[in-house]
Amino acid sequence: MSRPHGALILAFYPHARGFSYVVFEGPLSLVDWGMSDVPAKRKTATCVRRLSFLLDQYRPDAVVIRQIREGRLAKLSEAITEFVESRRIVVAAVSREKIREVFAHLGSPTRYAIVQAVAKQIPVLAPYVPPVRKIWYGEDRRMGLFDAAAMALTFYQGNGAAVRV
Amino acid sequence: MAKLRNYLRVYRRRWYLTQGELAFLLDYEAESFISRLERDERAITLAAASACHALFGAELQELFPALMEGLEEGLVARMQELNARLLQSEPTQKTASKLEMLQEAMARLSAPAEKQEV
Repeated sequence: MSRPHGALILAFYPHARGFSYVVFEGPLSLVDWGMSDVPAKRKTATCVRRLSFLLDQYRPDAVVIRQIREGRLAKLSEAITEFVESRRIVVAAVSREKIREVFAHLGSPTRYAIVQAVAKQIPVLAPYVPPVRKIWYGEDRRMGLFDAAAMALTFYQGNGAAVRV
Repeated sequence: MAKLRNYLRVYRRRWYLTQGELAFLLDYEAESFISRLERDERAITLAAASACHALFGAELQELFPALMEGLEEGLVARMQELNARLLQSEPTQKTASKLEMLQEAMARLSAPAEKQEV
């Protein structure tokens, strides 16, 4: 905590069950994180309302969101972008391909390999690493947390921050 | 410069403490006190601030930057005002002692900033 404080970044990752978020103050300083389940009914409105609360609480310099061009979450992603822009906050959309590029040193990284790399980089998230998923189980809700963290680290990498993931 | 007004939530979550557990440690009856402290909706008491410092091993400037900055700014302004008033008053031994104390205090308050620059 004694290092200088950097830009405040909120990475917001909507997924099928709700959303996950992480707040960084510089690439090595995780400030807050969380997961929220949102019922399918009124999903967009609920996500935007909870995001609004986070924006009021942290007043981030930029919001990093997942780039979704098609599928069920595309409209939600669009609504989030519009809402954040209406608050005059910079929005950065990060694609899955970009995340894979940043984590390319892991070979051909699976999502789980990225989860482990993120946990190594941000040890405070290590207790949240889910067990390896059996194919007959659904995705663990904690995966979204690491997706959000991976997006934030990708954003920092893209902005020239000295961070090795 | 710190971006957040206070870092109580950051430190609490870093050690995976719940608001209820921190409320217990700080001798508050309800966890809603912690929630209000974290959201800066309630002023922290000296006892709670000292307990946080002892608990997390962090300086109060790190834990509550906005509060400490405000306190310091106000204090410096009042010290400068008293300093000016004393300089205009009769130069007695007591006045000289007060002026010495104020100058030492102002030097101490400006010292951390100089240390950071090195």
